[in-house]
Amino acid sequence: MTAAIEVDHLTKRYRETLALDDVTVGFAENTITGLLGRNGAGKTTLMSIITAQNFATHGTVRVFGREPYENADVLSRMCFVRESQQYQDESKPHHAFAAARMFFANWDQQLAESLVEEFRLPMNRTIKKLSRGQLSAVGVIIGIASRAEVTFFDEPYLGLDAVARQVFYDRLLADYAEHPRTIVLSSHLIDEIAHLVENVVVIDDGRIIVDTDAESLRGEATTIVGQRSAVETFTAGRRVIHTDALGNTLAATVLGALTEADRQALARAGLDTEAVSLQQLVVRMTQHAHQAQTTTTKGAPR
Amino acid sequence: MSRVLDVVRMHLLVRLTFVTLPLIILGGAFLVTLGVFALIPSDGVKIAGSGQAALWYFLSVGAMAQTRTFPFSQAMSVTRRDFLLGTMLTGLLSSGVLAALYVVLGLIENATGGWGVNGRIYFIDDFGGGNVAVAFLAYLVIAMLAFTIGLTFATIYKRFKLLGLWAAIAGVLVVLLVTVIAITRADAWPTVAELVSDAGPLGLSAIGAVVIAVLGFVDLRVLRRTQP
Amino acid sequence: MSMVEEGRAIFLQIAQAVEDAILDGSLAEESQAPSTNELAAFHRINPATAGKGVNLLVEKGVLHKRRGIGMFVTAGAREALLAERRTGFAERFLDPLLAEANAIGLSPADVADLIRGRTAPPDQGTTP
Repeated sequence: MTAAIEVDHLTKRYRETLALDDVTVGFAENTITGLLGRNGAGKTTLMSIITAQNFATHGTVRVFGREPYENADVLSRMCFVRESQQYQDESKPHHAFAAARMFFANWDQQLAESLVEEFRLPMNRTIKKLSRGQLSAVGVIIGIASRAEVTFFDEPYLGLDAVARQVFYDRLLADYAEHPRTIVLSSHLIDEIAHLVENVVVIDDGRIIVDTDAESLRGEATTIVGQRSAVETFTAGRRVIHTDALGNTLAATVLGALTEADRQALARAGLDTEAVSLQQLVVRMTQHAHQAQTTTTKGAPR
Repeated sequence: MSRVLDVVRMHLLVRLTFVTLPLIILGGAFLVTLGVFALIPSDGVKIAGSGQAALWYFLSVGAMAQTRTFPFSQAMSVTRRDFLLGTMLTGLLSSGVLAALYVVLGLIENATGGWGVNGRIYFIDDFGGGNVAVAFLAYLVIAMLAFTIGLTFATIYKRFKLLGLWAAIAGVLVVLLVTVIAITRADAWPTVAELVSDAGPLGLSAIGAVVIAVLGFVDLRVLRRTQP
Repeated sequence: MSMVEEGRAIFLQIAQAVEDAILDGSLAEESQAPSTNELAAFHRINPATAGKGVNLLVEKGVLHKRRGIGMFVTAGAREALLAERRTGFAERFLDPLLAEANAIGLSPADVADLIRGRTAPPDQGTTP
């Protein structure tokens, strides 16, 4: 698969803090990638540098093989409406959509109108007076209806209720199936988008800690539950990323898919297994990465 | 080029900044001034500077074009260069309309003997030396200059925050002050006055156009490193 | 099934859902199978993942592609699937059953008795 977006050794420093720390990652063409991570992990910074809204301290970004900065040919094929997007003074949703219609060559007006209806977006209220959810809906509609070859959604669900979020996921998926394109969906509601995404990139503290396809991540971790000594025997030599204990019962989350032999060994030892959701896995890996970092930096002189 | 024109259309989508407010200020200032003129019992020439209100308002039109619309233009995937060119073009168009209105109002002012009360609001004769086209050009350059100053300082503010804005304003003031001191020391004010009157409205407009171009260039340099 | 469960590859679950439909007869042999996009929309999953599930069934010979029309259920697919499921039945269902029986002190004979008791009236114990 060819990469629509190639990010190479990208670093972004704001005074004291490293927002992105030597990030190298690719986003495959015509896939949906989940860009996951905690608030402040660097998701928005990464997307805004790819779209040339922000600037890198070091490193390069290439979209369709070319640098996007001040490159109208490349930029016009991308759409990135920020979570905190500012709109023109006194503008109403229909103004924003009229502008998007001018700038995005693949804009589908009918699609935009049906989305307006589904989100029940008041078209004649100034954007300033919209609720948080309605504001998100404006960005979501621009993102979907622009049909840009590369589209970023930056925490698009803020303020949207469960029904509206489902509308977003369903309509995005349906339109993506008809018009495949490269979509990057940033989120920390991982379980909600776990089934939508083909690839998963997890960013933590400005570093990429996971970059893989979602399917191989499923079943990549299992929680082993049972008597402490039996669990410890089974997990010896495996990568344990999390443990919880209750009396003599231990629950250990191990990385690596289980083989048939493993399952038989577990059954013999009377141990139970629990599936680990993508969200749990990401949370555990993030915590694990933090612990690993603190232990290595503790001993090392600064 | 088409994206530059689309930037113009984007600015004009919400008519408040570029169309409605300038017209309200122009009309409002006109009516208030006329009312004041009517209250003055003298038959002599009554002069008002209020006609220029809409021209000065273009300072804030330029600033708003930057602060309100630049972040949105980034979501529309517009390059900074296209945004600036489109914004300057919008300013020029809007300045042109305003200048045309001033000329028309000035002609009416002359034809009606100063609105029937010997008032002077639009000074078309002073600005054009009797030439309507020159008066138009002079008004155009003044409005566009105000627009570009507002635009450039708003960009500087966006890029370098308040400290940068103050530094830029202080820098301009220092340059002006040094110039004034230099002219005073050299006792050159009569020469300067002579130069200005020799240049006439046309020459001054040309100088204004150069300043606009320089500011536009400065704006582009700053904007190229500005985040929305 | 409409919701995808955690911890198992989604494409395997999609393939199984299609197989279940063939087994219970709701998807007849030689009839057109749901498209990748239909499966993706119904299960609310990424089309590429649904495609992987469909490909798995094509590799198994359960589905085949007719150019320009779509995916169809292969003749004899139901029999083949039945055979496959029967082979795996003991492993999938009996082994865990016997393990649990052992843990609570039931002998295989006790289990057999229980099964006979539950199935005495032939229409009980089946799900609609």
